[in-house]
Amino acid sequence: MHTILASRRFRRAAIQAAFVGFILLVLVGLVVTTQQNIVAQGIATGFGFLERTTGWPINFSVIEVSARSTYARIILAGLLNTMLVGFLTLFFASVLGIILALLRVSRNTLLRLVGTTYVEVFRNIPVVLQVFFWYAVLTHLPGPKEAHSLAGVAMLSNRGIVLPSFTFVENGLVYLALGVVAAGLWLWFTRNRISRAVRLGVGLGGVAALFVGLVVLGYEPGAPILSLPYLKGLRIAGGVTLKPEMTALVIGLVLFGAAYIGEIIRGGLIAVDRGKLEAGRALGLSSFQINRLILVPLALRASLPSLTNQYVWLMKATTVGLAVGYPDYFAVISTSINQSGQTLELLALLMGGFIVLNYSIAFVMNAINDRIKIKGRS
Amino acid sequence: MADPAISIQSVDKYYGDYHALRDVSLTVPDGETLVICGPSGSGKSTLIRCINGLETYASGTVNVLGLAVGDDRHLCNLVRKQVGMVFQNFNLFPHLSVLENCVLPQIRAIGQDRDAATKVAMAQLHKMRVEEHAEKFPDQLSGGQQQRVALARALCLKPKIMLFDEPTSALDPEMISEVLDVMQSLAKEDMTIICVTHEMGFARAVADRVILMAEGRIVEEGTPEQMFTAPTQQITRDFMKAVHR
Amino acid sequence: MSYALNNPQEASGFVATLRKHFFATKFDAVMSLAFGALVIWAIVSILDWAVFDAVFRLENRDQCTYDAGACWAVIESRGRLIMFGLYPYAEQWRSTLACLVIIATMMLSCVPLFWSIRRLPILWVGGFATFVLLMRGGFWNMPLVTSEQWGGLALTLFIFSAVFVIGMPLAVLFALARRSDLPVIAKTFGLIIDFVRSLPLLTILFAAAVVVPLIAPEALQGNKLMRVVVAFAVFFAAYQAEIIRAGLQSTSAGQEEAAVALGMPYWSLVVDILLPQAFRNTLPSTINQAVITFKETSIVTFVGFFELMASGNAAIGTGEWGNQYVEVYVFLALVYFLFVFGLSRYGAWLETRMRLGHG
Repeated sequence: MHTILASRRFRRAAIQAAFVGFILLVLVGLVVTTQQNIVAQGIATGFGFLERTTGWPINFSVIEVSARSTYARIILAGLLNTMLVGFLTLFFASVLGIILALLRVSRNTLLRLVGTTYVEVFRNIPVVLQVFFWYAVLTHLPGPKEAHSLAGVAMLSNRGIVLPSFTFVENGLVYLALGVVAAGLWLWFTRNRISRAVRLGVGLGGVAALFVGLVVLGYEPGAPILSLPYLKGLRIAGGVTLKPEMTALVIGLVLFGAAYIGEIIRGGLIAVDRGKLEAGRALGLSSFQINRLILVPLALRASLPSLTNQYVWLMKATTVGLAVGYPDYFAVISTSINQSGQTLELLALLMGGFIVLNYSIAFVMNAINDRIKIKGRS
Repeated sequence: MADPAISIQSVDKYYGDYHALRDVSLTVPDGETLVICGPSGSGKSTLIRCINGLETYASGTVNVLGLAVGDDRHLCNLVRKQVGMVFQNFNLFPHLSVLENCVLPQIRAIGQDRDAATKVAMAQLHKMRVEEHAEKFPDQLSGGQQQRVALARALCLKPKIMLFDEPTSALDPEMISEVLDVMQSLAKEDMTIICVTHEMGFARAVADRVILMAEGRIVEEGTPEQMFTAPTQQITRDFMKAVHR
Repeated sequence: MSYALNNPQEASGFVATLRKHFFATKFDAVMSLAFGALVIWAIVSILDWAVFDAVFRLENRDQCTYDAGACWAVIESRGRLIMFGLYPYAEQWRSTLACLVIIATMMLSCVPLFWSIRRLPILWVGGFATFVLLMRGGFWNMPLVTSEQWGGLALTLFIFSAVFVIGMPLAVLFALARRSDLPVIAKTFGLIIDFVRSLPLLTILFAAAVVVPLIAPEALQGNKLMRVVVAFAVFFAAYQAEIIRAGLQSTSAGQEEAAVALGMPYWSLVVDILLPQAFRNTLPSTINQAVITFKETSIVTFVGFFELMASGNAAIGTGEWGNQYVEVYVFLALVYFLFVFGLSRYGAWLETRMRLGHG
């Protein structure tokens, strides 16, 4: 008996079996308790509630929603809101991050100082605080009657920033966004096959045509094509309103994210072997050519994995929108839980949604990484 | 005749599909100094690692000092306390001082108290002629010094059998002799020693028996004189010629 | 912008240095002047607002108008709320002392004397226990103050240290489990770690606060603070486990073999050999994780806790100090900055030191 117990193979099997047993026990216990609690509180189970109307509105959405929309539609709107803020943040934070990285590696001491100060300040303050701050700033702007005017075409007030806009057909912005994505995919997949002029022509031309088409389809006789904001009674009408919730969230996330992205890109720039750059000089390339043909491509490849992590993190960080009342995916689901009591199903949706989002971003970034990575190194 | 120190019977080992040890049998009497040599990939290291249970095997038996080395964890542990091992890459613990490298295993493996362990450690370090480095850290020492510390560490547990897995292969040439010297003085005591090595000079000086392995089998064995001057197998002849420059 | 690839001959002297740093090329000169002007304008404006035109004392409160400088009087008026939340006024000395204890613990952790696998946990458990005893009271002549009343910076420090004290051992457990050579255990913990890491912290805290009461039996629920802290600790542990795992992987396999060959038991291999090296190798990443955790304590405000961020918002409120949001937020930022910047500077210093010499 003792021999059997001491046998390596038996022990391994026994420990694993005991572990599995324990996990099953815990799971079964949880399920049983949940059943009891659900019955005691009279909550229905299942996803049928998704077809009920919510009876409550949300203050921002990319698609059309109202208090009479179904739960399914509202949750979709929340998801789209998260994606909207997420992609806006990723884009602007990357642009600002590149600028910061360039500042930080500049030969000019003053520029380096400015870059370093920015990074240290914005990295060391919690993003929640930053978003709260910008929201407070935006909501303390004067009311519509005393709104600031920017060059006569935009207006800033505590209701939001109103920019001039074209009158598109319904949901036009969504189509335009899809068009831009399609153009991006086109440019990516025809990278080495068609001449640059043709590719750019088709891509930009296609987006421009789509743009014009959307405006034409939305044209109503008598209404201007370009809608400018103007004061109408107690509020500002016309144009497109960027609500303070979304604006504060994006500004806060962009400023915070740029600090991190800047550091990652800086790391990538530094990681490029000086010898390669010297080889470029020896070959007689100009400074600009060295940067464009050697430095930037290599730095990009070096920073891609860290950048992927940062992008995924930023997408998750959009949940901070709860601070300012922006109806992102999390906010919508938590309100739904409050209103409908379908805690478990909604929580599953919440977790599932984020997992899908994360894996999508990681998948795309890894695909890009695989395509551009230097062969031979693992 | 007394029980042999090590008795290996018909051991087979596979790494996946690769047949590393093919029906290997070996008996090592008490006190013998045995040298195992052969081309790389022949299974020499694998064989001695089966002796202290660092490798598992598919079939056959391995008996060390009357204890079966195999599935039974308790017996394996008992065996390891009687069998010491020196590795090609020294494998000292880099975050501990030289002295602590020798003291800690005594405390943990055989329950020795710290004072006694320190005495034993200093004695062994003295024997290996590295005692003045006791407070230093491993990466402050040369390769030869590190290997001697590793040997001291293993000897602190007073093993009855010592296994050497290519102890000088990772050393610069000028340091090989200092390690071989201490190994030679060890061989003169009546410890059972099994050494996997290419150093034929060492084999000639102290080995009682030399074994040649190739492709997972024992090809030939004999006294050093026999193996070097009158080998019977072609493989042995080829190997000796390649090694004897 | 270009890299400093050239100029083997370096001129010296003040003017030459100035030129090298700020005016090396025409482009550089333009940028220096432009940014220089911007920086000077920014510094002057900030100084004007924050110092020269500012009102510092509460008694001068009437001088706080819309156009003047900063109204720091709000700090004097609401400072205690921000620091201690709703902790009873008479007992706030305990809160202060407790905060100092945690700060002392953090600073002592930086002293190499404490860097052993036995001393560091004792230090932290001791510090944390002292904190809880001081805050909670209920003995000697310290009346009981339950955790519902803890708030402000004190609550932030509590959450931070609780997450650390609970999360670190958990992280070691996760890391070892994931590395186990029993495939069932390794895969299960791998799934758990990856799952937790793929979710936002807020989701996990929310689940702990709202969902656990639904799925767990009464006895195991604990109060909301405990649940949230444990959930936060699990989140921390998932990230820290990956850091530790990387550290374990970088210790060579040969050492494990040597320890096994010497007959050392498994627990000794882990505690004496593997973990000390793993922690030493990954110290910068661990500090970085601590920094992130400190900042993330502000997220706890969303599950209804009155920590630093929330008490700052309460201080502004909609009442008399409604317009002083900038002053309060700047004050909050300074407090966070102090801790976070201090920690990350220490991490950078550690990294340099480890790269140069033996740890």
